[in-house]
Amino acid sequence: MARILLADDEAHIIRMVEFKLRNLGHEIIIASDGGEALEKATTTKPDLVLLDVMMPVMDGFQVLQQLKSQESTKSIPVIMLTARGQERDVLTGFETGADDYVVKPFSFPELIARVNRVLGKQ
Amino acid sequence: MLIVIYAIVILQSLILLALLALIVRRIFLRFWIKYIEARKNYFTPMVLGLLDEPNNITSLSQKLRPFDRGLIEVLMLQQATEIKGQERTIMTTAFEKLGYVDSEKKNLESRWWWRRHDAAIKLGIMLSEEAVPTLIKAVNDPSEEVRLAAVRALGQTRYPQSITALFQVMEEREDWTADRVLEILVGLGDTHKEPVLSRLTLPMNPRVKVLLVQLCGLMKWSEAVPVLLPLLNDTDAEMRMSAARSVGSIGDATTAEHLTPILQDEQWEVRAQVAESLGLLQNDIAVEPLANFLSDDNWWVRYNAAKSLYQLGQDGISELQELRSSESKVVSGIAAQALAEGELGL
Repeated sequence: MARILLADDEAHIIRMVEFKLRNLGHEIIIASDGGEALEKATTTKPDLVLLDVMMPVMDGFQVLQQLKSQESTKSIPVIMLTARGQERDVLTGFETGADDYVVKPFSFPELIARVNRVLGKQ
Repeated sequence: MLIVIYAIVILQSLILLALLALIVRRIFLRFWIKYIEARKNYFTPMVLGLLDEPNNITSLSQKLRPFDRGLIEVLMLQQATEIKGQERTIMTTAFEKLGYVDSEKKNLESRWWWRRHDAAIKLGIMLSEEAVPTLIKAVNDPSEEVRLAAVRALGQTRYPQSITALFQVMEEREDWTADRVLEILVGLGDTHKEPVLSRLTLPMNPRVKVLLVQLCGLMKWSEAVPVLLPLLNDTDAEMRMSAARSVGSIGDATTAEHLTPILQDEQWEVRAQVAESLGLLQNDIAVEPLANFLSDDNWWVRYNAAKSLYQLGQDGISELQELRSSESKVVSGIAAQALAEGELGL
């Protein structure tokens, strides 16, 4: 099973996604802001990062940019979590190097399918 | 002297009491928050587990204490707002089975407006069909906040009877509600296209009809074109203008031939709108009629006509270049302005 870094500043979203992915046997590392996400991605080397766009300290794009510019983290796949109505962010995400995106509110089967697809590619 | 001493003692005692009360309150709050957190942690897996195992409702309902009911409701509402699809339906069933829909329906009839307001918001998240009749009633609530929340909640539920109720609200209320309903309908996407289009063929309040015409344009519903074209000749100028705007937004190039005669409209606002829409339709048949309106009496008509000519591409631009040397200063001026603005990408 995989080690997944989940970065979101909303506690209830973290709770839900963590619960779902942990039930599937994944190890979940939590970050509640962009700075923490970057630090944990560098130190824990996860197999996948689920990255919210709107976060304090650094937004998701800044984190993504940093991850993709560092030698040690640039190969970690990233799925962006974006709110409905901010689908334009998806383009920015892909341009910056995101592997996939999920629009909130979630459909968990969809989220899990995307996680599995990205993890399967590795 | 004695009085002063008494006063100081009383004052000191009061300060001491106040301090004591603050300390007790702080201790109480600390324990209260810890207690809530503990209960939250206890119930969270059960609420989350509902998505995987809907039968967990039974075990959850057995553990409900009056205080816990509120806590679980908050957890479930938070969860419901973040999910969609089949799991959302599971949450709706859970809200119904655990009695939250019924209790919020009761709250929607409370004498306190803020309770009714909260209930309407929560029912909008619960998405239960059972709540629709109560929400429809709440649309006529004396409080504006409650009405707005009820209208939003009806929009969120997306049931056919909710949409019908929203149309009724638009027709019956003379205040802001109709405009707010329009915003909600835009947010709903295509789910209500058919009812809107069939409504447009029926006699109705002209103000509402204008809003529905605008809705067709905002949603770019090409199926609305046959309904919109006759409205270009309506007796009401606002209707003609809205129809012209929507036809332009939908962008079906073949409709340009229906718009060009409306450039002769007696109202300058309609002519200006038609001139703007013709630019969006990208049909060369509009070049000549638009060029003729560079000498219109009204500046806005001239400006929109010139701008649209630029938007029409090479044919329109060539026309503008020719008109830039026109003997009429009005025509040459507006043609030069449109060319300059176009080159600057404005």
